[in-house]
Amino acid sequence: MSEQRCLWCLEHFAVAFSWSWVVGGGTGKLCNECNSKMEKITSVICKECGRPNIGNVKMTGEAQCSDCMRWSAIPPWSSQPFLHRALYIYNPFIQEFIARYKYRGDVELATLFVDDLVSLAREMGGFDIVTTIPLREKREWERGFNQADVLAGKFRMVEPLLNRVKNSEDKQSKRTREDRLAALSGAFALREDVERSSLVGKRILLVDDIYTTGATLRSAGATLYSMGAKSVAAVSVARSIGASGEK
Amino acid sequence: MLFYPLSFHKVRELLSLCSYTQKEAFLQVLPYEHPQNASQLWLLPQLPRHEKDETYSAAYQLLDHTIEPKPLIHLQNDLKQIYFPPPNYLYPYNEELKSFAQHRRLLLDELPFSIKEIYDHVKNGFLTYQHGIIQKGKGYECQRCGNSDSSLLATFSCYRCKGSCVYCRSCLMMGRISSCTPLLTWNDVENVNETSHELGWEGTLSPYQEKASEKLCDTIEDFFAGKNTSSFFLIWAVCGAGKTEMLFHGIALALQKNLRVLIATPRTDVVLELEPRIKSAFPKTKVIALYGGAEDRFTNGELVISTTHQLLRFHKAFDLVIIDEVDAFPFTVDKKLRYAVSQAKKERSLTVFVSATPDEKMKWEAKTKAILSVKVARRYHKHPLPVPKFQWAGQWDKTLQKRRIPSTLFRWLLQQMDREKQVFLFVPSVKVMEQVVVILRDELDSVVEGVHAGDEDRREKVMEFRKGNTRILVTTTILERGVTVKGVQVAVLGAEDRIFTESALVQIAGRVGRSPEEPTGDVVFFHYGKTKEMVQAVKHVKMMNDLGEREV
Repeated sequence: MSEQRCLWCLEHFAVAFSWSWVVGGGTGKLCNECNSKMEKITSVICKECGRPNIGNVKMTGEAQCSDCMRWSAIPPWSSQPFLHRALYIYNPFIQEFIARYKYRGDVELATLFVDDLVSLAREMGGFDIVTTIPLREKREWERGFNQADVLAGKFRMVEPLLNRVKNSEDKQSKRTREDRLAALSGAFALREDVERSSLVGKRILLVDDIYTTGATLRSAGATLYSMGAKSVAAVSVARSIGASGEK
Repeated sequence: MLFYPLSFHKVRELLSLCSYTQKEAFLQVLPYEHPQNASQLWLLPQLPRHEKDETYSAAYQLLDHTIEPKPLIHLQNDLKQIYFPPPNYLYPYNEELKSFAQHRRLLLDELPFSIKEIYDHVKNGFLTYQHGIIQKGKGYECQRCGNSDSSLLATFSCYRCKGSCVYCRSCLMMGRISSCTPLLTWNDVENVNETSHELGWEGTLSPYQEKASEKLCDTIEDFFAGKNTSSFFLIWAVCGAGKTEMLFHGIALALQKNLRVLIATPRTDVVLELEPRIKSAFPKTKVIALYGGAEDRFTNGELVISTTHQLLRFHKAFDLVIIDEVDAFPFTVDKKLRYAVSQAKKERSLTVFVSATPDEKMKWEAKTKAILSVKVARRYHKHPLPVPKFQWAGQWDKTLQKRRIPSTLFRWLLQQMDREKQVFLFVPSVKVMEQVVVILRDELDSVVEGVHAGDEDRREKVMEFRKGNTRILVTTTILERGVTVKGVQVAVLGAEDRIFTESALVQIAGRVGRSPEEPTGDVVFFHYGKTKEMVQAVKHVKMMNDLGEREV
């Protein structure tokens, strides 16, 4: 037994020394009480976006949720695959957790996820390049860090590929779904220092913090497909479970 | 952030290298007045790219080619002799910026002004800064909250200084402070305030209050007349002595002397309760109340009421600091808050502690006259404090497991219900609280409610009890202070538990007999073996009562 400080509530707690603590990434960093508030995603009902199995979402039979069905009518998703998985359900606790991480700048909190994101990606297949969702420079200066970069910290071969182009000044979290989708089409472009040809035929993994409507990741994905990527997949820390976008 | 460390030898060298236009631009970023000692260092911040404008770029280009900018923390040794010019009174400074930064230490992110404007105030001598985090031995120390616990300091790769940056997790919720960021302070002599202050309170003090009030006024007079007396003053006043009123004359006196006054308390509830009372007592004074979530966190007041936590933003701001409930959790526990008070007060300042239960150290200091003190042994209604009684409750935890209430306690509760009294029942833990509530609800017709510190409905439950709808409120020690309900009777179950210290028990006993209409009542400690703390608590109450008797 040893004493440790809970990553979230900063209280001391006793940890039993066990192998899972050595091997597993997240366990052992949170006290029991905080840990019990995290909801790990254990099964999904949409094989595409990884919508977790909870609540009453109508199943369509093809194991694709209505959101993803709608996406598959729009290029490039009509011909290209998309795959996303998240570690946790975006519940009020993790919402607060990520808010403190991202907006208060408690960068240390990412250590809870970095290893688990790598194992999650490993379960999803092999990738040639790992990249992250970029921030606008002004925002990155304000925060002092890019939350997605830090989350991808344990991946090998992380390469910055994208830049934000469109004037998406307002914070995304303040927008409606429609606004987001409109604002995000063509929101990303390839960085000037990346060779176009270097993405051809590559399997690319995107890393981000939260999956809400999937618009950000799909917008980045569309840009990567247009550069000739073979496949684009994504991992995130938390997956929102709001009503499936139907208003 | 990155800074260019420039000595004025270096400045001369750079100027000789400049082309004419570069020279123009370069001179603009230098302080308006140069130091006598040319070896002193001047730090020039590297502005973030999106802030850069035309005039700056020429100077910065030259600097970029000549000097390597460094994060603030790496300049620690050089910074001992950093140069800040005296205020330039020809410069039209920004009043709003002044109202933010005066008497405070703030992060760049807490100042809603452009970095260029902030820097212009630095070079004209109106703002100075220091490190947010300093290196201390092998570790680091946060200069805002004093934290140096390595498990509460973390490192990240910082976009602002492009290096590895240490930040403090202890005071993170007040805005992240990291090793490359400066803490900014307004640097100007204070304008002497011409507002007249007036005490709008017209109540009368009891003779006991009167004595303490006079002594406080005398101490303030003496101290600020420059007498070399102790800079600490303890008001040891029993629960229900009416301590806020005792402070009024002292506060009024200090305000009339144009001194800045702070009332600090560990608890938000107390700030909220004091705010309207203080505001109506000092109608002509600018009073501000600061607590987590308060709206006006950056305005300046002549009289500030603050939680100890919110004090962390102040710097050398107050002449008279009054700390209410000095022994209350978490002030004595949390080093951070002690640090906050020490930073918020001016170098020469008077600190007044107000407590019903000062700790041993403070009592000793008062007794040996190391600090000045006054005791207020009687409540304002002049009745003595109810003396706690002991009552054996056997192995009450085993009785609870059998889903029964210890018979002595149960009989006492029935009596109180018959007399139509309300009861606070204190228990040692949340678990016991839950057990007792379930059993009492089965056994009694009266409305029973339980409450603990982490309870989300805490306020509503206390409100229901105040209204008289709840007859028995079973509680952990959270209600030991502050909550005043007329005619309430108090019992402690398991008074031998470690959590019930002498001061906790004295505070608990102090809940009874607060109102002049019902100045007496029952306080019973139900126990499974008397402890030293229980005996001390009774002694404490009796001692105060005797003292009050002698003073009549």
